[in-house]
Amino acid sequence: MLVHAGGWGSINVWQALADLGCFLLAVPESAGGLGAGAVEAGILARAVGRHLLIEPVRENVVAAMLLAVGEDAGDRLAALTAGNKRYGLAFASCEQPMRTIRGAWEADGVLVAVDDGLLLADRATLSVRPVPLLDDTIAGDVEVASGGFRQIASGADWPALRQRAAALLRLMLVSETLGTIDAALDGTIAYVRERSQFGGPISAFQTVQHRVAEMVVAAREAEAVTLLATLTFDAAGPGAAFDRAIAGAVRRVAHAAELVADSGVQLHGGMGVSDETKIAAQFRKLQAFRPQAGGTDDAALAMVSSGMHRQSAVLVEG
Amino acid sequence: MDLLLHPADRAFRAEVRDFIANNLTPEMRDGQRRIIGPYPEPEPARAWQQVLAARGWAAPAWPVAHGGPGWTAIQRFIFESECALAGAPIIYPIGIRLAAPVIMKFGSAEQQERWLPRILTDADHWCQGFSEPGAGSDLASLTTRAVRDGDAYVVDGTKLWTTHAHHANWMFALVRTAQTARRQDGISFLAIPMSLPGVEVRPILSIGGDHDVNQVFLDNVRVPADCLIGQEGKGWTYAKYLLEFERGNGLFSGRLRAALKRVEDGIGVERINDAARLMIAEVTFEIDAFEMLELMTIGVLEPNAAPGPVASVLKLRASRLKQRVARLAIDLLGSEALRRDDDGLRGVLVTDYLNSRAATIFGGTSEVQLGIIARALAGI
Ligand SMILES: Cc1cc2nc3c(=O)[nH]c(=O)nc-3n(C[C@H](O)[C@H](O)[C@H](O)COP(=O)(O)OP(=O)(O)OC[C@H]3O[C@@H](n4cnc5c(N)ncnc54)[C@H](O)[C@@H]3O)c2cc1C
Repeated sequence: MLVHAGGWGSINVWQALADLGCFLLAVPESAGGLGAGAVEAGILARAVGRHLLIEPVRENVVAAMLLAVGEDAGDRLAALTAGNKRYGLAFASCEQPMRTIRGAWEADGVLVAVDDGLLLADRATLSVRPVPLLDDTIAGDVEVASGGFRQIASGADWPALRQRAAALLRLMLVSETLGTIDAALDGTIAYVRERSQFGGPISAFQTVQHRVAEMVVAAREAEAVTLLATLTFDAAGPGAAFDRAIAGAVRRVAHAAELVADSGVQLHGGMGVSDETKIAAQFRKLQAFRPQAGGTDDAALAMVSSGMHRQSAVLVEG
Repeated sequence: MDLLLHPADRAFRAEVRDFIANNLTPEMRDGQRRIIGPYPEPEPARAWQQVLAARGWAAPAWPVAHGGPGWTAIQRFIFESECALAGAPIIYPIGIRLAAPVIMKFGSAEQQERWLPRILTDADHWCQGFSEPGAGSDLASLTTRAVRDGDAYVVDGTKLWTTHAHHANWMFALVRTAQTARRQDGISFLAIPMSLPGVEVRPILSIGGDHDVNQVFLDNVRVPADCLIGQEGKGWTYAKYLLEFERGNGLFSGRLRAALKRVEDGIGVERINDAARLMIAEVTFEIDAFEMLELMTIGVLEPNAAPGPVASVLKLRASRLKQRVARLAIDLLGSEALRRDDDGLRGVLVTDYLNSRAATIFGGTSEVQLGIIARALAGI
């Protein structure tokens, strides 16, 4: 999709996702949701990444999780999970203007999860400038009219919920990227088998075979780290083990994303650098991973300083 | 799949930790710490193996019928991880992990009885006679001949790069028993006693300067015919089966983690600053990823099950990571890495770094693994 052509997404896609119950995934059963874990959210995100959906799915799965604890949550939550309302979501501060808020363009409101509570600004109070992003989605630079923010959740349980929500959002980004890696790999394999040069398929060349094999290895590794971080979250929740697992997942998925994106485009030849092909869109999407995924150095240093890196990563204490 | 350690797993882990604390001696640990090739020297690794064998734990991947412990996949994973992190010697794999699966699947009952119990205690030390001067990656071009003569095969030829041939009393070898249209069809799998007349072992020094591999000359060696494993002409099939175990059945991640700890110990605390910590973390994340990959692929296998072509992914990652860890030591040592006069851990790290280059060559080179991955996993 070309940069200038984009809207926020398709209402049909959005409705179909809502009808499947996607936005109920992370809502607790007590609030009428599915109470699912990171594994299920990851499966959804992987499909989003595989099919390059541009709709703000991740943000709204997590928005529903947060809204579920909000005051007068009922109607607002029901409207979101039914697909009738969409929100932009941010975890940073609400200093104005708020830059690059995913999901904010043409949204019904913006949610900001700050340290001491959840803030909501309704559409009427927002001024949003659309910002096309590297991954073909449209985010927004947001200004909220004075008095526009209302705090709709807070309390003793809030910090833990906010931490879980931020972790889930990051995990879903990782899974989404894995889905794009899968698709780029599959598409590249199909292409090298079908593209013929020098009298046969280019897959006959060993240099092509080895490059594809390196993509397979990187994709397998990316799958492993994604699963590790996801299962660690479900087993132990946020904490030192998860910090280690998600930092590792971000780094290794970034590595795989780069390798698969570069090789994928290279093996498509000229087609790879034209906007005609999926691989070009996948390349852009994969480039967008690193700048979104957040830093990992603090977690890396904490892991080594504590000596935790000398212990198994997969046998989780809980 | 569930990563949480359940009470039964914790109890098992406590039992393993107890056992290690009571039986792993400082000499055994030191032997493993000084390892500069793929495998430790027979002593003190054998002593540890015998301690394990007495407890019924020497061959976690064997079926119970042959002396395996009957553990679940996760127990096996915990056991290997605990042994590695405690610094226990690596169990010499060429008997237990390579020869044994072939003997179990294709050997006669008599052969199983004769060889398996002695492999379990390292009473027999096996070496692997596959490669030859003219047959490396293209293994099927091997020319060592075995000609049937009454109740024996007469073997002529030479094997190259034979690890531990100088310690071994048995070799399993691929030999050519027939000239066939398809080269693979003329290959057989033969066990050769190293004590027979006509077997000569010549050492080859490694890039690090030590002796681990050899050339083995086989000159008119009369090998009893009952040492043929399986059927004549089926050796290639058995070898391919064996290579899956060689490449992907090791549960190696704990060993990589222990190697990383050895690097930290060897370079000295004064070199560990934040820049070093970040480098250590980077390698750790790769090891973590590999550990999960192992758990997902072979951590779920039944005893004695072959991992399939994903073994090539594991071999490739494990070998590169081995080199990555070894290289980290050199990067962190700075100019001290130049010096080869240290007979402590630092010297070990430098020699290990040199020898680690072999990891992407033995067991099938990286290029060979990539070819298998492209064919079997990408379908091209
Ligand atoms: C330390 C060590 C221990 C060993 N222990 C044993 C042992 O105990 N028993 C045993 O039988 N063998 C052993 N080997 C031998 C090992 O299996 C071989 O070295 C290996 O299979 C490679 O064969 P080669 O050395 O002849 O290299 P070659 O096959 O000559 O390869 C040379 C280069 O060419 C590349 N190449 C070859 N063919 C292809 C191809 N088709 N496509 C692309 N590139 C290709 C290779 O990848 C490599 O980079 C050991 C080797 C080492 C280094």
